Amino acid sequence: MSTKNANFRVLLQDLKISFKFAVKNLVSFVLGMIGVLIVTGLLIALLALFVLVPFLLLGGLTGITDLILTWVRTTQSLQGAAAFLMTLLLVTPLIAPLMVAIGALYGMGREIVESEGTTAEGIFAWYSKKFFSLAAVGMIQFLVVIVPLAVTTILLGPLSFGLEQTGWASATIATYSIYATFMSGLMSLAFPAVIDGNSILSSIKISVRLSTRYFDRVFSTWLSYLGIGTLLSFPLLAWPLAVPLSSSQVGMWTTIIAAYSIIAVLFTFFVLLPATVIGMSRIYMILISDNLSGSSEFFTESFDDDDVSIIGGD
Amino acid sequence: MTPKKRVSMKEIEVVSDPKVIKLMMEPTRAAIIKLLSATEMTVKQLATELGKNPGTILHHIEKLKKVNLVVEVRTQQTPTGIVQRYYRARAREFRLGIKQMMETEGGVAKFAEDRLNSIVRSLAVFGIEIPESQLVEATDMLRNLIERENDLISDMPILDQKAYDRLSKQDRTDASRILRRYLLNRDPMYVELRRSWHELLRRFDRGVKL
Repeated sequence: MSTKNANFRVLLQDLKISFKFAVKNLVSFVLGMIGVLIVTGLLIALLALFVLVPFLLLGGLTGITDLILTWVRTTQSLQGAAAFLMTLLLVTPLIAPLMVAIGALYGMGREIVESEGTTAEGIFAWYSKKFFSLAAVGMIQFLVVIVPLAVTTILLGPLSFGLEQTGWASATIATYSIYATFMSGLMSLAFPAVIDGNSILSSIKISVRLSTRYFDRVFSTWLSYLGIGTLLSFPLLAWPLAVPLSSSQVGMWTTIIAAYSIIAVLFTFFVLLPATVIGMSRIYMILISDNLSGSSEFFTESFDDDDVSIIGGD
Repeated sequence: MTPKKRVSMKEIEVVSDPKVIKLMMEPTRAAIIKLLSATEMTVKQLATELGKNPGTILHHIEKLKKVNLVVEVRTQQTPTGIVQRYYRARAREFRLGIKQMMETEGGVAKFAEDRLNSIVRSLAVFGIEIPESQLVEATDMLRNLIERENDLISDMPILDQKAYDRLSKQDRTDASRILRRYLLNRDPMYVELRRSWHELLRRFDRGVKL
């Protein structure tokens, strides 16, 4: 078996290394993520301003109110897919800065994978230098994962999500979850490919090519991170079913769950997300290499120390 | 994409693209090229050597890779879990095309001009004092000589690249020097340019000792 393929030991090693580096670079990641979230928030606000200011100048506050009301009325009057697409039209440009923020994290991940360390300010260099590529790749991923939901809405119509149709709804949600997991796995190496200097389309192609060729390695790791995330959220979803509302211990459980929620959210954002970023960047680096060697196979091209020449000049 | 096959290292490369020249003149990138011309190194090693963040080095490496000045050699997994790439320069020596430098904007032309003037003036320490009135003629002659030399040696013919790559550094360097001299001396244009240059030097020779 190739060193690029997966087995249980390799998977454990991949996860262990990614979490080790995520914890080791916790401060850089926390500071970097906070900084980049502020920039993202400002950018989204700026984008919104670009839309709102012309209306404010043309029609004043009434102009904006009319715009919002028209939007709401139009969306309400539209059915299923059309309403969904209208919302998508509004949401997609606003998603772009957020996608760049996530993509820029992969820049930090790459620095860690190649050199063990990173700096909080490093994320801003990736954010600005790769802005358009990361935004485009992020939007493609977003659309590929989200658009089928629109298609499902068209095919099944609003009734599929009605109470009478719970069977249909469950089947649709299950099918969509499998699809979304599969597609996100296929594209899980797109951001590392962008960071590696590839173009938008090449990055998508590389990600799909590597994920299919090394399906076991990419998907076992990707599913592990998703699985850890799901396990973390499980107590939050399960506790209302486990503790009856009439129970006298509801108050105590609420406190426990609230405390757990805070810990789970912090862990997800500041450890699990960086570990995922580091893990997928590392797997990309391993899978893309043509000339991979382990430390035991270490060799250096012979550059002679003895730099003695008997022919002078040029 | 990662290169699919090992790229041979050239002995000398004359950089003629003004954009690449400008790129190479940034101090950190120039230092990276110098280090990678001597040996293959990782981002971490370069960062340590140059006292810069690995991220900064990575951005510079990416730019140098794009213009084919630097190539990836291999990838190595270490016991700590990091996956490091080894990079090296495309050639053992880079020369900036003087003609193209003169045509480049953004201070590069001025740099090249100042450099030529400085070289000509420096000859005074050896006893060749070129007067200010002759400075333009002297720098023009030197420039033409360098340009012709670069044209001739930038593409040295190598019959067996694999055998060449297997040579020891000393053998490679010495053999290359012999070949360079041979190529220059068999070119009539270069010989004439050199004769004129030496004639000028002789005119202002105030006591170069043998």
